[in-house]
Amino acid sequence: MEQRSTALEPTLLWIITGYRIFAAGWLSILGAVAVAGEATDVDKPGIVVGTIALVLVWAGATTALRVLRPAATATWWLVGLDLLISCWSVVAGEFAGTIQFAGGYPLVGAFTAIYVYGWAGGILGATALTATGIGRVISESHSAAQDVANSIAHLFSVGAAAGVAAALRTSERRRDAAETALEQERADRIRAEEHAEMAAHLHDSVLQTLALIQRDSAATPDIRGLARHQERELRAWLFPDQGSGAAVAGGFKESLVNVCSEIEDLGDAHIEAVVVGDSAAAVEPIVRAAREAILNASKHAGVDAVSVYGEVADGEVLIFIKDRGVGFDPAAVPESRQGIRESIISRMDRHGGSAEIVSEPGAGTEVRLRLPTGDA
Amino acid sequence: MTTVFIVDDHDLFRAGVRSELADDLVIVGDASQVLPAIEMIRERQPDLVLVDVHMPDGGGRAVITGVHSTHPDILFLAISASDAPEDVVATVRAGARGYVTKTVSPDDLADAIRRVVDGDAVFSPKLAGFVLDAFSAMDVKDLDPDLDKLTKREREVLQHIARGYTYREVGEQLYISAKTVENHMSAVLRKLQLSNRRELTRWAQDRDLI
Repeated sequence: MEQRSTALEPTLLWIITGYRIFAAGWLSILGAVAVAGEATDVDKPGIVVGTIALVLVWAGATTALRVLRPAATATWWLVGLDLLISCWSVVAGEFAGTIQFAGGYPLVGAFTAIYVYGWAGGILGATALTATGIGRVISESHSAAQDVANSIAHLFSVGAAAGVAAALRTSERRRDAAETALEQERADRIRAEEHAEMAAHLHDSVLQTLALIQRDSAATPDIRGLARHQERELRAWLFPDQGSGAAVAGGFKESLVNVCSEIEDLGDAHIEAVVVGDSAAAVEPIVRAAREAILNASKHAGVDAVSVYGEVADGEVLIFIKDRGVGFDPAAVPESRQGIRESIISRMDRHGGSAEIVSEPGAGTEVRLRLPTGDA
Repeated sequence: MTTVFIVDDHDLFRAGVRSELADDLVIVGDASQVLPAIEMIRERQPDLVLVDVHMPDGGGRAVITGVHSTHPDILFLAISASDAPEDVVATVRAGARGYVTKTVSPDDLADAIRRVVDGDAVFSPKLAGFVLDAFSAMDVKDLDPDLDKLTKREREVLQHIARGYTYREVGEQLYISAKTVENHMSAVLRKLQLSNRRELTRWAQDRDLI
């Protein structure tokens, strides 16, 4: 049984304890009247006195246990012992040769069983009491009507107690669940508000400062690169959904932007990436070729900015990589330059696409990549 | 000389831009808040206002709308540290004639201001990308073809700008004059400002929600 620190369970326990003390007192008075009274004749008064002593000691012992070790209340042997004493109180009068003097005491055992085992405990308690009552009816012929009435009263009381306990516990669980959900929601909201507030603050202070550093011509390229890197990281953390727009996870846009970030982090140049549209199609070849071209531009063009433009058009994806750097004569590139030949031109050819390199010394370079995707 | 007013809630940025632009342009004032900015701009009537996209009390949009209600001729150039497309497009739609990021170099900023004052629309590669995205995302049905669709030529020009070409270079690539490129961009700006409001709003919301 999962218990939260609510007031319900201790309250139930104290109701049972209170009832036990009351019932033990009731049994003692009835027993004393039977022994000392003049209306009846008790064959074995020792049994009556012994039973009174037993329930009083048991009530004292269980109450003490409840105060000192509340957890021990829920053990099976304690429930069993309690039921046994309750059943004994039902038949004690029979053995003593007098009328029944148990009063309401037998119910205590069943209540304890309900407290510990719920409905199952109720059935267990009711069965034990009823079986004891029936046994008494069968063994003795007199006062059968009284015994049947007692048993029915027991059944009814146990059933009612089990029902009430179950209903109380269900409503308590619901309230707990509602409270937990409310607390969770409150915690989530506070966290979201804190995040938004921090984002607004950082946006207004840190991002602005990083922007200022980037446009400060007196700062070294290293410092500007660092500011750019920090700005991108901060932005990704502050606005995780922004900039990606309706991005397809692992799609064209995300792959290309990731490649640009990765190369920018090498620190050679700022990669200005603009991506229009998105596609989940297999775009790995063109993105890999683009990576090679961006790397070339940032390393060899001698510029601090490279423009990358990606677009998903009808049935094809396009990537343009442009720099305003030193440029070169594409026809004069030696065979041994694997970068351009193998990684860009051959790769695009192999995958049914194309690569065009427009460059001349001193006038910058543009690499134009095109890959059919099949989906028009 | 061209007169410029600066609206930005970051003192450091205003001071920096002031000193950078002081050689080529006349800075007639600056403000850090929306309402004082509107009043001062109305009073001093600069040629152009450099306005931050993100500010408390409605941002650059509020300044543009407020000034344009009485002085529709004052030009605006939007600037921001954030590249959130919906904010940038919203500011341009409110009436800014262009958009640059705060990482722009002083020379490029001065150049952008001059171009806006000359009547051009200033599109950074990023803004060109946003505009291409916004128009391609619009639903084909219930469109006004004159306003809600870009012509093939306009798309080509935008694509080249997104690729990193200057207006002059775009003209060379497409065998048209730089003036024609400028005309195309002005047409794009007009469409962006006048086109189907509902569709563009939905585009912005889609981006915002995903």
